Amino acid sequence: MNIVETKGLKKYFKRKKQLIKAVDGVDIFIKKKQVTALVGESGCGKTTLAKTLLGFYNADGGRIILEDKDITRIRENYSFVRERIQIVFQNPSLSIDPRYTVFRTLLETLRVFKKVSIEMAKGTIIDFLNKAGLDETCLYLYPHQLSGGQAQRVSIARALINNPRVVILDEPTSNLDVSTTVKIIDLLAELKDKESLSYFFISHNLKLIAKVADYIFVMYYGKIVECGPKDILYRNPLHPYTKLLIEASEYKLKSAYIQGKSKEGCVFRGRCAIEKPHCEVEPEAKEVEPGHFVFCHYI
Amino acid sequence: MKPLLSVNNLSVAYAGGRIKEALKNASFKLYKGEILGIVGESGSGKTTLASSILNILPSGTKKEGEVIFEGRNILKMNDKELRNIRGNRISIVFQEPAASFNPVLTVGYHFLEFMGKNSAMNKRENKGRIIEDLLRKSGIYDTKRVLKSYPHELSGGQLQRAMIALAISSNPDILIADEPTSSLDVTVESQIVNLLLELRKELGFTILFITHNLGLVKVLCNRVVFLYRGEVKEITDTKSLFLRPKHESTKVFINDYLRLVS
Repeated sequence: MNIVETKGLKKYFKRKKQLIKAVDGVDIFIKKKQVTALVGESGCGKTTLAKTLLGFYNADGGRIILEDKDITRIRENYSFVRERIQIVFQNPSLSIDPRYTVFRTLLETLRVFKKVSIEMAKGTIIDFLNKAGLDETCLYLYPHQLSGGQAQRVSIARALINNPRVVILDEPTSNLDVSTTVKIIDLLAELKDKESLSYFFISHNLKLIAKVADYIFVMYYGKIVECGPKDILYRNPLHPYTKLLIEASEYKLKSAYIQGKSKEGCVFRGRCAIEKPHCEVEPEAKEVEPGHFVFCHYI
Repeated sequence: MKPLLSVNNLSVAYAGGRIKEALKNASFKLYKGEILGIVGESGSGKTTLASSILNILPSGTKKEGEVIFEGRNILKMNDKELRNIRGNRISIVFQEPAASFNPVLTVGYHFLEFMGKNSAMNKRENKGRIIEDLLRKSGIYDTKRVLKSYPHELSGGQLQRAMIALAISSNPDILIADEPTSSLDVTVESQIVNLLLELRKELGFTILFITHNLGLVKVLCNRVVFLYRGEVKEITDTKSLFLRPKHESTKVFINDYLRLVS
């Protein structure tokens, strides 16, 4: 069951008269009660995709479907979307208002959807802080008084406080220590079962993805190049880019490649070892195994 | 074997601030040719350690103990002596390449200025060629463009390559790499790590590699100094660090890491 689906989703930016196709015809889905992951290098459009799902940007094409409802025109469906999709950002100290106490941050979020008195809200807030592994001593602290891990827990509490169905995790641990990362990952796993959440986990850390994800999308310059269930994808990576990423995560990648995308045809052309004439045509999805899709002519 | 650098009972306390003692009684030795990892969580004193080896701690910092390099204590040196060490015999590559360059100067200017400070290199002719060679060695091939660029015009990977080129330009004995890849992409990280290894093979410098990434330690380091809250808890070779961590804090750290990757 897919809770969120996109069909040919597009988001373009204009910079200096140049059209940047940050998200260019992406079909993804987020499965119910599972962890769907999105992997790719910085600049490949991961965060843009997440922000488009949340309505921070208007899509330039394609459709977004949430619980069988078309929400592409998100501005008309704001509360429907925000009640169901929430996000935890990469850098907690930048995503929490530095002038607000933890209590006020959470209170404001809570009051977006529910009219509650401060006393009633306090109970809920403490409840969610506890769920995120914090206690009430944090209530009146400001973000700068929190450690990175604590701040990320506040972000998690904020994302969960309105009982969403889907949580987008945009590199939630890449600013954190190993030991803090472990704790946050454990917490997220626990909350997922308890609150029956679906996660959309964005990361460039393949080792972490291997640990947490059920289904993986690999993205390169605005396009999905390969996707599949975790076990299959790691056992049998087929797209040259996926192979390159896995090689890099084991520190075996040496060559200095030319970073960039080709104008036409396969996005990975300029960087690909097996470039052949067919690559001038954009590849279509091939299902090589059940659920395992590759966008490459030579697989 | 005589160590190339030895840190003896080093304690560092910053003036003011919340954490009073950043390093407590730290001692270890760095031998020629090895890659020594300094490992620990954030706030464990890794960067303080690197800064004290180069004596670039902010003024007012209390320092005790000694950092011995070629029989002399770096912490006691005057400015002139330090200039001979810093960026010359001991170079450093910092974590954030964009923050290590002056944003209003071109990359090329950094090279010229650095060479101007170094009398031996200043005397050499055709500096331009030497600089371009250095960049090429570090994996930058469009050298002319990079030298004319300002830091913000280059990617993080390119800047870090340029930084490495700058660091090896004086043919140092020791290269301190202070989390050189933690702000870079996985693919770029892998390349930078392999670049460091290749350059080491070619130029024969010793690397002090500061990181919290145990995956990197595994592929890179010969020996490891494990820091926890400013104290050296364990010094061991990499293999035994993973197989038989002795100290409690090391065990926790290793287990956390293994849980994330397995």
